Amino acid sequence: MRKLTLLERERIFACSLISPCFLFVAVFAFYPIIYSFYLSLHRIIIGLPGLGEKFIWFQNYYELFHDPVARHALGNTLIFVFSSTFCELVFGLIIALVINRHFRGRGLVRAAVLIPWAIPTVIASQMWRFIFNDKYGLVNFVLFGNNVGEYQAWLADPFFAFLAVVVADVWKTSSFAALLILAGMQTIPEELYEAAQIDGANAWRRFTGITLPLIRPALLIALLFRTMDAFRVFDLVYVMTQGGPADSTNVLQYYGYKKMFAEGLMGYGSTLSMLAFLITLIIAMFYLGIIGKGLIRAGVQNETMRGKPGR
Amino acid sequence: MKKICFFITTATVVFLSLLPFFWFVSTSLKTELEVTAIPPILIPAGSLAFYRSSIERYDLLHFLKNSLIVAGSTTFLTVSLALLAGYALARLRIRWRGLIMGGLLAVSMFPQISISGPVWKILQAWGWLNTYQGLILPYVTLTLPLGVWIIAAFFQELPADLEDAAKIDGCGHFQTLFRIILPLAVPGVFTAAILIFIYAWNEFFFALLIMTQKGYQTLPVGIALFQGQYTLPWGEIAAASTIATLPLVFLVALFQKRIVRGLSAGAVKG
Amino acid sequence: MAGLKIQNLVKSFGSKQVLEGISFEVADGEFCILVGPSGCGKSTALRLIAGLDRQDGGKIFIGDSEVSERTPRERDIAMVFQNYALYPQMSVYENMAFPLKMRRSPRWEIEAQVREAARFLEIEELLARKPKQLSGGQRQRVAIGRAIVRKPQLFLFDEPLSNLDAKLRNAMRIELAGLHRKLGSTMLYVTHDQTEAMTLGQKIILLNEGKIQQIGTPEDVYERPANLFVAGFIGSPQMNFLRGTIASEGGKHFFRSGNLSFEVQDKEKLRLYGGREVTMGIRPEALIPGGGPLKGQIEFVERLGAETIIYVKAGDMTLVMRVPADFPKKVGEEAAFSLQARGAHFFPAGNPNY
Repeated sequence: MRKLTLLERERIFACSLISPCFLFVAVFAFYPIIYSFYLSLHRIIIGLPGLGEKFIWFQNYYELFHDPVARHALGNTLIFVFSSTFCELVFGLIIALVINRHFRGRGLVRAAVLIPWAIPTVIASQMWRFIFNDKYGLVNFVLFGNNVGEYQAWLADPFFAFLAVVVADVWKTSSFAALLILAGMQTIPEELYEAAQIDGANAWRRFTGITLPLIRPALLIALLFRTMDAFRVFDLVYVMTQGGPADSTNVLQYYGYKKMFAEGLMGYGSTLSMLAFLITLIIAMFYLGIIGKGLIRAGVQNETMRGKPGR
Repeated sequence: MKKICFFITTATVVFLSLLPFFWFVSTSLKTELEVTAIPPILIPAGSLAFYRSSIERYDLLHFLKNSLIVAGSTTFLTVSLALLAGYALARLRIRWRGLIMGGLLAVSMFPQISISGPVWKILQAWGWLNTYQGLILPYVTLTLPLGVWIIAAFFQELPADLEDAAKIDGCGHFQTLFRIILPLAVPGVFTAAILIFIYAWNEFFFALLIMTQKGYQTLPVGIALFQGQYTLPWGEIAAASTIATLPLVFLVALFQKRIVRGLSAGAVKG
Repeated sequence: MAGLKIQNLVKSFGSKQVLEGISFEVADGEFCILVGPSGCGKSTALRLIAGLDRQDGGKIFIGDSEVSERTPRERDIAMVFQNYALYPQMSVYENMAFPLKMRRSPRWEIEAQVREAARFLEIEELLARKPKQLSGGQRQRVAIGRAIVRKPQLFLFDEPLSNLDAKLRNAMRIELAGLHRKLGSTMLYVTHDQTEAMTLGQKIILLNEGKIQQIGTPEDVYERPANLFVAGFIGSPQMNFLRGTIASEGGKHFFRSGNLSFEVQDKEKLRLYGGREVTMGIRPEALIPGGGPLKGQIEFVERLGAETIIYVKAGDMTLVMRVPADFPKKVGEEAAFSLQARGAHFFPAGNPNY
């Protein structure tokens, strides 16, 4: 066998480095998606293994199509995604603007802002559940003081329960959005602002004329990540409201969990999970269409630059 | 004038960010009576009773131990794999580099529910439900994209001619990786490790799913399921939450610069 | 020590062909410079010779053996990089010892070699320091030290002085020349700076757009440039270029360009160009002030202290000239010049720009 060329040896080396990763991802991510689809075509009930796994074609999908709760959950999820993502971007932008400046104690401010992001979502959920509590909650205290009679059971009201979940999510993840936007801001050269100042632009004009346009890619990426995450909301609902009251906070992933594991309907649950996957795919492709071209161009540039070493 | 505006905004942001946390900490330091006071008392008496009871009655340290084992192992495994893959993707000439990076990114966006059923079935078939490895393996899969992206971005910053010099000095591929590159990778690896640890520590969905026996449950599951006899034991929940989040608060306070840089690196390159 | 021979080296990156079949030889012990503008392919050629990239076609010989298929390690070469490429986590000593360590030399031998090289380069006091504690010039010396410890057959230099400031660059140039004299090794040096090429090289190879333009000594390429590119690349300030025609009248040859017309003495140069369009190149120092057929108005004067460069508008073109420092005329004044035949070159009409 002839001796391998430099390039071939490098390729084999690279493959050996990547294969462990590939193995994990193939077994625990890609295969499950295909398997999920397979499961969605069966009727399976965990806990009643005697019933076996009956192949029922697309009956689950038919059922899903006519399931009002599923439709409601989907609607809730979408409203949640829109409202929380919007708020998070706005707050994230504000936070990013604050952190972007250099001032003493900036590190402490950054740490303080990162804490909501760093703590487990279920713990944040418990915190907010307590804050919205009808008897001991901070919200009631702040709004009504000692006037105990006015205290509301926020989480028992469909509208306010939903609002509470949104508030908790915005609190938790605005800082993450802020970081992504901050990354974009830090690529803007200082000279642009200085030139604008000399040209007579005030702070607002500098913001709308320089900052906003130039952080557009970072904003889009923040939007992409936040949309994906908001779509998957689960922890908050599980702890704060358990989908209620009256299914007002029932979201897609929570409903899927209930069906698949709480009720053991793995076939139908898989159908829901396929729906979730499909929508995620659509959102991703939509975003890729917008930012993708820029990313691909940057990626290709990267490739050709690395392929041609030296000057 | 502008400075005052800025100061107020900053103060508000910090206050709002920390308020729920402080409220919980204050609650955890109250006495049994104070917790159930209506209207709520703002300043606690300073009692550690809830901490004691959450440890004794609710087995908090047990959950802590489980979380440490799972998050620690995940971090170690993921970082090791991400190091190799990150180097390969950043430095070596691979034909489908864009595809692989994109594929990893895609995996990080999968809704948990979409893969949970099969993952559960696979683990059940292997008898790995309610075992440490049963949770660690999916965690590694979920954190690999994050790790690879951060480490790859970091490697791309290293000067390219170091590897050329090593090749001329006589190193083969593996030698170059272990003697030259790895010692330089420490900062990037460290950042990735912090972020992966936080992710694994906080994860709830799969922990809830796979660890149904109390003996193996991690902190998030434990705290989510805290049940009192008749009412929710808010004091204990608050105390347990404080203990659960304290290590994270320290991590963030110490390494906020790294964390910001690590997360931004992924964003800017991506 | 061994010579280097390249035969028909070809290399493309994607759809771009960077090297179009170049061939040259470097004799044993020779200091050869590969020079050309950015993107001409010189660094690519160096990397192919080093074995860091693989050629698409052609052969490479070091000494008597063909090394075209060998890894860098097997080629027994050393390379000094533009950005030094020192291992940041190792001390200077460890950096210089590394190649010997990879060859599994015994500890005592490594120590002896490293110390000898350090003494040679006068960096002995730096052995314990890390690269980030060193200045640019010191780092460069360590990089050279790492290269010489192994006593390789061939030294490769990839624009090693580009990152240094002007003063340091001059000093290092002299040191490199001294290094070559003392070691007597075969060296291939890549640069885009024609001054470095002229001062350091025993043999210069000019490269442009992947093709060799000329091979020769510094004197060769300066006095007898093979084409417009070489004429325009070598020499600072750049040669003056005028387009015109050659006319023969009564046994004499005249070069005509616009309003300018002057007799050219050297018939040998003009034999091929009778009646054709040519580009005439005039070295700045070939224009002598005083009386003469060339007249023009001084547009700009650069007094450099030891000499003066003036820009004269003659007809509709601007000529650059080198004049003595005490040149009396000022901006706006008229001046007359004559042409020295030695500094005049003729090429087929074309564009010297690259």
